[in-house]
Amino acid sequence: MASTDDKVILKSSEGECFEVDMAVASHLQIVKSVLEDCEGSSDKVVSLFIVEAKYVAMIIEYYKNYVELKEKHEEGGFEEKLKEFEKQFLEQIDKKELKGLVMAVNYLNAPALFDVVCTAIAKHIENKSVEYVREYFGIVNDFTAEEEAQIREEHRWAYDGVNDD
Amino acid sequence: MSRLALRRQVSFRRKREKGALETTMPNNIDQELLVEILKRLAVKLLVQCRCVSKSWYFLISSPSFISAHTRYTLESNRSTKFLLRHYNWNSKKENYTLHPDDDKKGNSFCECQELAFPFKSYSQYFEIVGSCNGLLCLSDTYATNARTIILWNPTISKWMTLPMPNVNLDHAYMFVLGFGFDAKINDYKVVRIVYGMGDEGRKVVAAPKVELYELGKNAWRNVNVSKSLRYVTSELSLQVFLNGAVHWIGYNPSGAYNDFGDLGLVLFDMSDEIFREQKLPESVVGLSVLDLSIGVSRQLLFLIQYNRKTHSQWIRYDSCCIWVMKEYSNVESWTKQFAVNLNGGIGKALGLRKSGEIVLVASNGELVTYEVQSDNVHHLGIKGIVNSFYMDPYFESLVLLVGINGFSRQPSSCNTATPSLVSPDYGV
Repeated sequence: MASTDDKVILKSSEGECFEVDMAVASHLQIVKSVLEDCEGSSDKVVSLFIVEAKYVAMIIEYYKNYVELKEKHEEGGFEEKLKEFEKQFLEQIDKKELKGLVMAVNYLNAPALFDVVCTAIAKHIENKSVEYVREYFGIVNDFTAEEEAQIREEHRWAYDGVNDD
Repeated sequence: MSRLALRRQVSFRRKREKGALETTMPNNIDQELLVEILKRLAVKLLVQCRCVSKSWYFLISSPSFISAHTRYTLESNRSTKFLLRHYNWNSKKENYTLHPDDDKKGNSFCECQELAFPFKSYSQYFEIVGSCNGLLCLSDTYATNARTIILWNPTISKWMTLPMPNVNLDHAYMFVLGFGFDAKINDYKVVRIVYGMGDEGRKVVAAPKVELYELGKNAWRNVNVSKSLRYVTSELSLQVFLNGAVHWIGYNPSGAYNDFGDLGLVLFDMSDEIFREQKLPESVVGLSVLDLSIGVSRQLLFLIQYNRKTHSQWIRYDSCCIWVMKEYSNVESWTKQFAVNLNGGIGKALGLRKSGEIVLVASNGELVTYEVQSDNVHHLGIKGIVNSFYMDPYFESLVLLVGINGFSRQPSSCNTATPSLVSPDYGV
């Protein structure tokens, strides 16, 4: 059983607190460097300011499994097992939430999960229509109809075989 | 720590110190983050996404995004296809096709997709100088000493014809081209090496005149060669681009014969713009340049050593060996890896599939794959002129996206042109 010295408390934007093993929290580069700055201090609460609790929970879940799998498969096979877990992990997350999650992960600077979420978003929009991409990212089309038609015309081949959703 | 991570950390600390903090996550993904997501997308979707909005149009068309995307594609090593070119006698057509490069053996090679080829060669087919990051460099000789050189991105159907080179010798022996990428200035370059004729008749002079084309500047300029060179790059040898340098098989022109007796590796570094020379394994040094070829597979250089049929007047090969340089630049690490013996003879060896099979052209011009362990030969039903066959991993990129197809590209200021100024022009 780890002692409380090995724990850190992460506080979400709503003020919700999460007690996490250091081994897990140290994957968040921001948390790691804040703790290094405050070495020796008894204050083990790190405020994550703008990150909502639901994303803090997701990030912790990911790295908890990451750390456990790494320990369990030290001899090899870690990457395969991690891939399996990542698939399950992503299945539980709503597609709209991926956007919030990627911003949270980017803010906390957690490279492994960042790559996973960016790739998941890219996969999600692959084969989607331009209209869907606009809606997904909340982007207003500022082209006139003529301008848009001209750009589409320039590379007509790229618009074959695209889903309507 | 990366600059981005450092900046993020500094801003985080500043926010902590000031106590002036945002209380919610921003509603939308910022541009830096968007680049991280978009660089993971396939070229086709990115081309579509240019009409999402003006800011997306400029982002996706920007040179910095195009190189971030190219770098990511390179690093993630997602090439799952081969590009194959061959010229068929009957159809009199230059065919460019894509084939799966996966672990499956044999027939899956035949599922193919044809690429539209927008050019017509003065001779039967173009010489493929080389490929780099999704661009192919093609060259066509239409008169003595005059060549059309084209950079072509088949994925997005964009191309660029190079301006005429400057260097022309009255007594030129040969012209050799090389194509690659200068990572320091983030630009594509074509090197043109012009060898002069020696005094005593047909012999070549080892000190060449060299000029270099930069895509960003769309111009040729001369390059000084200060070093004296032992080897001459052969126009018969293929070139490969690896680790920032173009590699050719070279020969020592002061040897007893012109093209054999003393072979070596010649490199031209695209960033430093200098030649380097390297030794080849002892047992191939004495071959003719006709019997040795160079290639690259999974970031490793390989050599193909062809063994001639002994009782033949014509140059015909009945077997070949493939050498691999296991550690780049370490001459001692050349290892003879495979030996291939085809009934009926070998025309040309093209390369290796991910499944481990060797792709070859038989002497009758048919494409085959060869499994080393089982000695099995699969006939793939594709036939063409032996020398017209070319194979390379297919790499999708956005290079040449901006600007119109034609003889000279707009200077880089066209990156900031408003979309309404972009006029498609395929009339070349």
